[in-house]
Amino acid sequence: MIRVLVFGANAAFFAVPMETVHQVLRRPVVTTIPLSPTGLLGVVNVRGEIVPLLDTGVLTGTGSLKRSPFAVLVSGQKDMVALAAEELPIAADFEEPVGPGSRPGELGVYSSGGRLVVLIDIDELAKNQTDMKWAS
Amino acid sequence: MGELEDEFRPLFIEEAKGHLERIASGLLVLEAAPGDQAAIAGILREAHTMKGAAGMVGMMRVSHLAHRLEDLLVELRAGVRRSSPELTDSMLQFVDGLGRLIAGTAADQEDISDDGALASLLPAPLPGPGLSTYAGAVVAEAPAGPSSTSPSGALRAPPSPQVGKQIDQPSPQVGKQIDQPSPQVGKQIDQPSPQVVQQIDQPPQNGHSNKKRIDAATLQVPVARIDELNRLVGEASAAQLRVGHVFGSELHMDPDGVTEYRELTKVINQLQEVTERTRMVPVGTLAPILHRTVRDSARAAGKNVRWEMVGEDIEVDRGVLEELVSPLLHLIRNAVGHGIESPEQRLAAGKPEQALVQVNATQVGSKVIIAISDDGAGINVAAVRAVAAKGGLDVSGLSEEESLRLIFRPGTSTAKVLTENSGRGVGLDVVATAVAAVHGAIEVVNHPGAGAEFRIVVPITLTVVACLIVSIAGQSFALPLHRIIRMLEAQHVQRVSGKNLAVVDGVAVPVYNLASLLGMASTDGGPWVLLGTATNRYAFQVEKVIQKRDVVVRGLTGRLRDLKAVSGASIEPNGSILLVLDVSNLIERSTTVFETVYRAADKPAERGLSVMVVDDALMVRELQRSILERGGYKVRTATDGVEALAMLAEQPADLVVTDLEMPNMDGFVLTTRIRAHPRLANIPVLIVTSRTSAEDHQRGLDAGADGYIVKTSFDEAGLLSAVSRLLGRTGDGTAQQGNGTAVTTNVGTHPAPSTVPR
Repeated sequence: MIRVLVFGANAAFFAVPMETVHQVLRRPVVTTIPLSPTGLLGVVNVRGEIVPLLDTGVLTGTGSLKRSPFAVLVSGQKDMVALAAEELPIAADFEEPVGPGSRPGELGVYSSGGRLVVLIDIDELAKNQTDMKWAS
Repeated sequence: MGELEDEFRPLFIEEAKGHLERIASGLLVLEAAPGDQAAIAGILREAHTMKGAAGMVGMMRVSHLAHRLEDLLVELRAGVRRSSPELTDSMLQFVDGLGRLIAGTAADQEDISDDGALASLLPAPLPGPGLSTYAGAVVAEAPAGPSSTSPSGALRAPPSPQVGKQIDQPSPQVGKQIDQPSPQVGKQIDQPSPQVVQQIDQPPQNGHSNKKRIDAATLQVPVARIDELNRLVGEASAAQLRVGHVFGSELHMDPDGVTEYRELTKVINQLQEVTERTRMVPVGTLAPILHRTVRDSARAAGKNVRWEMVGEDIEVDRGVLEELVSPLLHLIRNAVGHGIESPEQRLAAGKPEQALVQVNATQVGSKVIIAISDDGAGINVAAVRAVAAKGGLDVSGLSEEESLRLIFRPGTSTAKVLTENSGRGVGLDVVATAVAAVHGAIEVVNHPGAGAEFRIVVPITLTVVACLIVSIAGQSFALPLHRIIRMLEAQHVQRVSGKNLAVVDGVAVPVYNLASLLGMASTDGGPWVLLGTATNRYAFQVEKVIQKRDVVVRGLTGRLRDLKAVSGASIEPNGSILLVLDVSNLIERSTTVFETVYRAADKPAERGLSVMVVDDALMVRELQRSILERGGYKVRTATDGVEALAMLAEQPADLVVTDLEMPNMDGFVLTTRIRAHPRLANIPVLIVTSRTSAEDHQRGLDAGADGYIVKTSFDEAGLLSAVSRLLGRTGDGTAQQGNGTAVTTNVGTHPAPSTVPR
């Protein structure tokens, strides 16, 4: 069983392992960065640390989100990042996947609360998403 | 050892490092200026303070050895012994040994150093003034700070047998000093202050005086603890912001209207600022060790080397600076050992015998550049290539610069002599690797025969930078002040070929709208900020200037490391993030944007035609040259009518563009002379002047000019159009209008060339 945090982006649902999650930010104050790469919505101040806010829509290939009423703070391989989320993230427990991921970085498809959720590895996704290579 | 001694010994050990460092620095100053009484007094104070403190914490061996050092210093002060390089060697070795003894004590290695061997490094005391004679004077000279009022060790120490002899049989110099003491010294000797008496009779029993020492002491704190402190302050700041949010959302109150909240905000802001600064240390903290290395390397190599440091106050994150110690020492040893020639070679080369090694620290944006330069022979690039080739590298296609960079490859050492300090086969690749470890870079500038400069460029992960806070498209940004030359007024801007130019100090400077450059929504108006260096200047328009203040800049790390236009960021007191713009990138970007525009522009067909530009103002000449060259013309310039006529006589031009007001020969006379010259009479003349009156206009045409443009309404399109028409080339006959915001374009040409008789 895997404890995860599920969040929504572009009417799809994704999850990250709970052990990588630091915190969920509600209405994060985002500072946009001029000439920033696609997929970077801006930066947020998290207890004095400047953390990049990634566009989860671009990261997952579902289209840019543009807005981020919530942000999920997670540990990546190198550093902490914030993932933009359109709905309030909720915790869940995953059992066995109901299907495989369709590309590198998608660890599997799980059924949770009557909806399908893709468990993701943000570093792998960034590495394989052309617009997000800067973040890999 | 008593409980009190146990408690304060670690503190003493930390303090002693500073004392020894200052003693070593003082000795180097003294070596450069033998007899410098201020330097001697400074070293004496340090030795004296350390002696007393060592005695108080029960480190009597250290105390006695410091006493020996004092004896020697007193001799130097009295002039009965002169400072010399050999003596400095001995004293520095003694100080190093003392440091090892203290460090050994810290590590519970009591017998790590042999006191006798250490003491024997110093020359035997001379007959002359003894320490006891001057003990009072030493105390009297010490400043009134806590660290200087600990004479108990000195005063409790038994006088050496020589002391009595010295007082009974003083040397002439000493006698003079004793016979005619300064009132202050006499008072100290004859009438010790109640404070001193108390210290002799009643040594501190309760640690009170030690407590004062703690208050003023410099404490060495682990960086991890500082980091944790910074993190916690960040947490406190975030919590405070959340409280403010609750005030608004739950209680519907403006938190800033609550006195207690305002006070909390103020205190947390101050706390944040102070803790941020705790990580910063001036580059000058490395000065003692760098100076010492220069000195010791020079002594070992038998060279005469002067040392200078510039930019000691530049601050850098202490973690970065710590990592740079080893690379810097390596570069200095290389400079002295390999870069600087022997005194004989220098004299033969016409150089002063004394060489110079300079360390220069400067801050550029979020980077600090530490340059180590010498005035030696420079790097023999041919030798570098040869060594690399011998190592199996194909160097045939390498440029001079690429060859020079080979010195950073492993095993490329050109040192002919394996010295004690350098040339052991460990080359600059180690330096480059160490610099890279702190995300820095190293570059070298070679001046064959005149020296070399190694520049280490490191990012400042956290630094305080004076910035101008500006607003661009409604968002605040910081521009580092050291890249700002000054503000410009908008009316100074003229538009030329789609590019805004401002005349600043007689030079045309390109200007850009910063919002457009950053891909943000731009607005008209707003002040211009002149950025760049003395030679390359660029002006950027901002929405408004908010204020000038210090900003604690954090280097962006991780996935944010490679952002284009931003060099760092700062957490503002209200929790928002202030971005610091990367001026170098802005300049680079603006140049690229312009080049793209320029390349896209159509070139006219007038290639091969030549134009003579005559104007006494350099900026105007160069501006017109720039425009005409971009228009495909060959351009020559002259500063007045006399020079122009001479150049035209030698080689005529297809057209002359001239100013009216010029020294030696003005534009009216020049035009008249051209018309009267048999070989030049048919050359079209276009007057470009600041004179706007109809009278001048008519006078110019009467002199024989073919066109007349007023400078205040001048732009590139108008000039090119007029030139094209006067040369009888294709053109629409209408001056194209520039779309500059600062000026209106109103170019007129009079009359048509065909109407002017030839």
